[in-house]
Amino acid sequence: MSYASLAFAGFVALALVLYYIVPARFRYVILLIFSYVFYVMACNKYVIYIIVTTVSTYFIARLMERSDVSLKAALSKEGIEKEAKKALKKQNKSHKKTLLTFALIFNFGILAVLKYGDFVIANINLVKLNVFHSTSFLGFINPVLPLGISFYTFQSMGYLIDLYYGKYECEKNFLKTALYVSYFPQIIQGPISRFNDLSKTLFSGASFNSLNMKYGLYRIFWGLFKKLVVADRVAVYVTNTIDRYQELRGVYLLIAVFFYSMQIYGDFSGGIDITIGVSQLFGVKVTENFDRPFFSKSVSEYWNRWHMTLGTWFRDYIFYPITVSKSMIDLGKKCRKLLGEALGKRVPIYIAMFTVWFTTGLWHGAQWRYIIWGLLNFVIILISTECEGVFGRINGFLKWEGTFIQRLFRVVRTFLIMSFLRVFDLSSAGISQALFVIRKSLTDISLPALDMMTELGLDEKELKAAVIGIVIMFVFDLIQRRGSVTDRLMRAPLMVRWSLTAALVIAVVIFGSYGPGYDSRAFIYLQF
Amino acid sequence: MKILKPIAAAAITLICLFVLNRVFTPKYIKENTDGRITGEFYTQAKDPDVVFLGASTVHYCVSPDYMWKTSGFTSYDRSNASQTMWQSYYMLKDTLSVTRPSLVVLDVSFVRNGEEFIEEPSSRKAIDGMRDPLAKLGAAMSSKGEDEQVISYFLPVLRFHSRWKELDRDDWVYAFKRIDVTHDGYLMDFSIAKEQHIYENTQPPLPAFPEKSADYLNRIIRECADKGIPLFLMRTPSFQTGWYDEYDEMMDDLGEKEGLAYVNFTKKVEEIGIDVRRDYIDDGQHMNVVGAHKFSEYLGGYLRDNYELPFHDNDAVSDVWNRKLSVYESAVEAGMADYESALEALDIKEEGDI
Repeated sequence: MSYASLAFAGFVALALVLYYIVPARFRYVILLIFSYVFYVMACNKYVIYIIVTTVSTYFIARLMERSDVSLKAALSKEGIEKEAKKALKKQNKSHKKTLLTFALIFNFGILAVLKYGDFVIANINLVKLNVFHSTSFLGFINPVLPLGISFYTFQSMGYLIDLYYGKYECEKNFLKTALYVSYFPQIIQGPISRFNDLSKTLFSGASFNSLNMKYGLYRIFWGLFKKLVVADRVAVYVTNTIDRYQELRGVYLLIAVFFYSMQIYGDFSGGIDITIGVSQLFGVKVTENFDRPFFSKSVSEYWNRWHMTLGTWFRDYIFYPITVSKSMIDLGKKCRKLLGEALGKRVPIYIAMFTVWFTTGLWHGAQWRYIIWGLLNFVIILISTECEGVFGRINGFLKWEGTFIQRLFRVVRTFLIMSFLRVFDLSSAGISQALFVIRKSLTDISLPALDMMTELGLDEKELKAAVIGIVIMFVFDLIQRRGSVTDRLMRAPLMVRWSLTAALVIAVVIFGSYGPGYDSRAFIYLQF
Repeated sequence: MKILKPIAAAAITLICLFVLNRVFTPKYIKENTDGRITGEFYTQAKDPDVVFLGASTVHYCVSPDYMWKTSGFTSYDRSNASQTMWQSYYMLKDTLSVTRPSLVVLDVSFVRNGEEFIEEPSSRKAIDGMRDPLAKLGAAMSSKGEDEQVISYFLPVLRFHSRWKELDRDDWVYAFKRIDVTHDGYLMDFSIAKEQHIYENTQPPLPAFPEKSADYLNRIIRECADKGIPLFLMRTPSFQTGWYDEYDEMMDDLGEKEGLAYVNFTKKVEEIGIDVRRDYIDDGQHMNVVGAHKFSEYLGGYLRDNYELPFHDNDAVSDVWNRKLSVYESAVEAGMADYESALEALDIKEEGDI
């Protein structure tokens, strides 16, 4: 069930009615029931995977909590010596670490087998063939990937890691843990919420609030606008163009490259808007996942503003633990001696960054092109960090530091870099296709012909609708810089507010790219 | 003030939806005119004595206005392209929600077609114009394909929104302005088939009618019986393949069991005076105006003789229908030149010349 479907709207409406009918203390149960109904409708018997993750998360969390409680009890005994206390703490830490390690291996193991099993097998077979000239290949698993497995696994494991570090107390109610793992508005595409952020409103059973309804609905329709009017419209062109990438002129590929950036932004951030809006209807506050990323002035800033919850997950649970690990600290010391203070202390950071970007690539898909894509991001950030001095000197020479022109240049440059990097994401045929598309789109430039644009799925009117949609999306982002657009809309005079609301809804209903489309010829053939 | 705002918001939303639905739904004025048949029932019919149900053979072969002229009762064709048995059932329900005819006539040709025959454009034409919400809901639920949403039958803009690119003046003008394109459901056609082939059946007949069609045929029979409305089962004169003597026997058996008359008028073409070469616009299924007049006169006579149908001697109804007839005859007169040209062009001189 897509978030942008009437079936989902009906599903949410029914959930809302029941949610506000039952007493506040049972409202989270309604959300849990609907989350599981949603999941079963999407995944059928594969619901077992999310149940397994939920059960393991709950019990490991409780065992870690019990371990802490036992430690507290032991430490509170009178007459216990300092050394014994230290030993008890060490023992507790070790016990919790074992539990956490088990949970991580178990749950990430499931994810690894299901999402990356065939990728590993394919590579082993490739090595066997090319290195050992063996043709006895391993068979593929061909697993069915359960809905949102990456999101719920990362979210639950983040929760356990936080518990391990004692950031907050564990949830004792199994049903609440189950809801945290499976909460339906964010199961498809996140965000990856932290337990302490989400749980405050997820379990509180908020009372009906008309303001929440208004804000939620605005957010949903804005998300639908981005998804249906912009993303799904340009998606037709992008798909058709990439399917014919070898025969088309470079200019059409170049347009596809830019449109793909719009498509993925409209689709992903639009989906997140729907998630946040639907949650707001239930009085649940979900973490923001985008902060106008296309206005970023550097690649690293872009990644701080795009899919923010994934970025902070990698930062908190991969980057920091690696950089502060004993082995990295030792390595840092050695590198400082060998390479000097400045460069030496950056080596462990770069190793951690490499790991993060390798994993980010892998997160996006089990193919080498995604890994390359992730590592290219790493290389660009690495170069920009290492060449900061050079760039500073160039800026000094140009005397434009801090000017609007320089900011604009940096924003456009970042947009171009990110758009071309996305070609790896777009090229399903692999790295060679991505390189071909990038090369051709940069070298084979001419004026695009409207006939060809029409053939590729965007006739003149569709193209205008797409461009206007993109402009509106960016203007909205620009206004958003000075504070919430919805807040401003709420403060606007009644007529303005209603007119803009009606315009938004009508734009989604009329200009949304959904449904079978109307072909009067199909009706002519069926006159009899 | 607190209560006024939501009421005003709801009213504005409803008005917007109403306008959008009206504007975006295809008008079927210049092409696909059969799409107007269901909706024009409400503006044209005014309590017809007889309601004809069935597929396209009905609205090409049965002319209510000509039948008024020759037999003196009023009628309306509530048929559509490829109208299935379940659509005919809900069309009957939709009809009975506003009127109670003296007779229902059902063309049973489509009883042999099951769910595999569902085509979205046909369903749209049959259902979009219905006004009884329950009948419409039933028709939509029983007809919808896998990718279709029932709600789009109530909010057609959800189906036809992509027409924003092709909206023309007619879409705005006739969103709210009445226009009658059909003649009480009848589609007047002056063409003649360029070639005429009467094909033979090559496949064996079905041992039984598809379950769903048989079920809805039964529902039509029950509905008419419950409401005390006589039902006549028929087939228009049709030479299309796919109908067998065995089917006639099955219909005869059903008629006998239910106390209903069934006539396959294909077997009476000589008596009616149908000329296969001149009277059809295609391979012996859909009639042009000349064929339709012959059949309507014959059918009207049959119904007058066998059912208790009202006479409208100089009453208010006859005034209305005489005016309709006048318009109708003008249209026939204007179009007959086309028919004569078609005859000439095809060099058809003798009757029955195939």
